[in-house]
Amino acid sequence: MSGTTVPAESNETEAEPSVSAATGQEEIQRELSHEEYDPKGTLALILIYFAILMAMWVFMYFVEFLGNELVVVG
Amino acid sequence: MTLPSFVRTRGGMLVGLVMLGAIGFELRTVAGMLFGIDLPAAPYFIGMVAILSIVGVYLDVTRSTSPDTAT
Amino acid sequence: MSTQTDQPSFVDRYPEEAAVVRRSLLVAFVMLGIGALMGLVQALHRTNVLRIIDSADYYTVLTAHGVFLAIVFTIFFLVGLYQWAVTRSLDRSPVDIRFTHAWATMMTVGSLMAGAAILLGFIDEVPVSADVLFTFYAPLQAHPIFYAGLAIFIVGTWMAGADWFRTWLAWRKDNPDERIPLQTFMVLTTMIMWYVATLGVAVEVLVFLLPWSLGLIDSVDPLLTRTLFWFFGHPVVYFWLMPAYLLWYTVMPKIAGGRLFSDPLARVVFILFVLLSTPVGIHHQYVDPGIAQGFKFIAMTNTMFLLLPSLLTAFTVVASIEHGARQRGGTGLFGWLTALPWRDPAFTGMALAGLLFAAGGFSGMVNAGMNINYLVHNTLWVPGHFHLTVGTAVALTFMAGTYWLWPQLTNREIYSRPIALAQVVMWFGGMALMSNAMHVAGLFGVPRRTAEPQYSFDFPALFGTIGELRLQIAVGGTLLFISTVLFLSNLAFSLGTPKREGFGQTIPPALSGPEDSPAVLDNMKLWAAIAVVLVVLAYALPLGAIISDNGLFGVGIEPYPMLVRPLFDWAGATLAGLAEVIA
Ligand code: HEM
Ligand SMILES: [Cu+2]
Repeated sequence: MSGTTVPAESNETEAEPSVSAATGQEEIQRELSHEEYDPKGTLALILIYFAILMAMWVFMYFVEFLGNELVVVG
Repeated sequence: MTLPSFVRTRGGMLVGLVMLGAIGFELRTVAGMLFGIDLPAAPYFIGMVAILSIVGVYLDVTRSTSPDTAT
Repeated sequence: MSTQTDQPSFVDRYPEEAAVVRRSLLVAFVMLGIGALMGLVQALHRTNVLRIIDSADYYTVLTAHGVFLAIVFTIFFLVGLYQWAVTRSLDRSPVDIRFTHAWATMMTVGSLMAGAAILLGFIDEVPVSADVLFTFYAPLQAHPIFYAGLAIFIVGTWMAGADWFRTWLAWRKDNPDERIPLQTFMVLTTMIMWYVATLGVAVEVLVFLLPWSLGLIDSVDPLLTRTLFWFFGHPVVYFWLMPAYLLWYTVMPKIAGGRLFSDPLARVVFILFVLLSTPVGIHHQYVDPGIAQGFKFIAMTNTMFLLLPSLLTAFTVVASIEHGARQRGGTGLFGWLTALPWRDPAFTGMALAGLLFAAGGFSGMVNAGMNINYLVHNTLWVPGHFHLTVGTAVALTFMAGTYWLWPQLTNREIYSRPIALAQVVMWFGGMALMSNAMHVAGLFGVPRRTAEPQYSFDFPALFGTIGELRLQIAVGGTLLFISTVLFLSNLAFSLGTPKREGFGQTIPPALSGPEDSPAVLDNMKLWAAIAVVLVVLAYALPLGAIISDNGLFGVGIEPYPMLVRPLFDWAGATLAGLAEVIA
């Protein structure tokens, strides 16, 4: 992004804290570049989410949907 | 201290406890819908709130920052 | 909150634009307040906990709730946020600020007209009402002033889009070789989608419903107008969601102390929304007779493709937050979660909104399946689902974003950060209760959109009791209402906190910047053209089939209630009587 933001080339982002942050919120301790950072926690979370999603879907399909009688109103 | 290092501030604790509460609440639904186990509402929720309160008090007294700097 | 920065704030740099943004947000929040009150009334009335209205007025309440929240609140927040985003990211003012004021005024006037028509439904003495719900299906009929207001409102949003495109083109002249800044990119793609989508509702309102309510045409075809509505009705959910995504992609990483993981991925996501959000509307009509199964099946397939951009979003946004957490010293596979700024209401609100959105992803998958949809169609499951999406992912993100944005628009601090934190957490808890109970009740067959959900049969509860679910809905709804009141009063008190300097905020560049992506992503004309082609492919045949079956106007459809026709009839009869007397 351009505009008021720091130019994209600079990796040293002297980022100020969020205006909505609490007083005494810890500051950033280190700068992680693209190469140094590996989002493995994100991957783990997404995999867990998928597992839950699939389990719930299978339940929904086989138990709730196929397991119920047809409903004919009237 | 092993567990307490998780919690530094009361704000963080509030968020964590409410999330745990929501998960506990959903677990009863899961038990009922998926496993057909009908956990009676009143004892379940009272028990849940009690456990969360105890955890909350415990975490608060063992917090790693002093209470006056963090709310 | 006393963090200081030496950057000038948005209002320092762009006072006039900041005023437009502020005003748009204020309209949005007034609507939020009224809408939430209606929500409380519904939640308590349906569950038989407290009945302050007559059941006959329930649709008036529900219409106000749906229209004020899902249309006016969301869209006014959107235009405010987007005005900020365009101005900030292009770092320039609108070409002509009077035009900006003009669309803001149009939108306000339109909302007031539609809103007045709805609220007058409470007063029996005035023959004006619009108890048509936010989907305004025929043959439910509203007073013409409702449809006219709606049309003016939508034209206002078109002008807003034109304003932003103009600003961008002006910027383009000065910066011929630069990539479009990400926030502006998001605004422009959203608006392309909006122009395509609103064609459906514009035709529906201007060609059919408005003339029909004026008595100029005798009847309309409910299936045709419904199909036109859903042509617009699905993409409108992305119109709600994309400003929330803008906040998640560009603001949330900053608040978390990190940087956006990938700018190119963000662009791809927004383009996918432009392409795919309209040709899926028929998935809201799985049970409509008169639309062939094949068309429904195509809509379902397209819908499944639409899961892709949301999954990409989940990955990119969470990865950006994890980046922040690790920069803040977080470690471990999950331990980084505790290093996030959970005391910052803006962060926590958006994170909790995202969490409930993930839960909504599940019920969305169920809704989208053509066969499983029959299980939940028109049950309380559906409101359970969209209170997670628009009611939380969007609404809570907007409130949380306000805690971050407002100080930059006013140079005033938020009155109380702890109350703000309690507020977002309370919304999360209240919604977990209410939405869970709605989902479960829906599976038991409890219908939506009714003041008297008892009907004549019993709902066998698989576990617990129906009474318990009712209680959860009532308690959840009450918590949500209190949360809204806390939000609004916190903001109201913030109008009076002392002014000071130091609210400027920068947004750090993405880890992987736009230079890593092909320039074709920025080709707006190309994406608009493909989007139009896809829409034509998806809708030409179904619309053609409907029109060739029933004609353009259907036959023998009597409006309900009769608002204006009786007036005309009466006038006609009087004139005829007069003529006789004179002759
Ligand atoms: C104060 C918080 C809220 C409460 C207590 C609440 C409660 C409810 C209830 C009980 C219903 C179902 C009524 C029925 O089908 O009979 C409903 C419907 C609905 N709600 Fe909410 N809601 C809240 C907030 C929101 C928000 C923030 C949005 C969107 C931004 C929203 C959008 C809707 C929509 C679109 C409907 C469907 C209306 C219709 O069927 O025509 N609600 N709400
Ligand atoms: Cu849809």
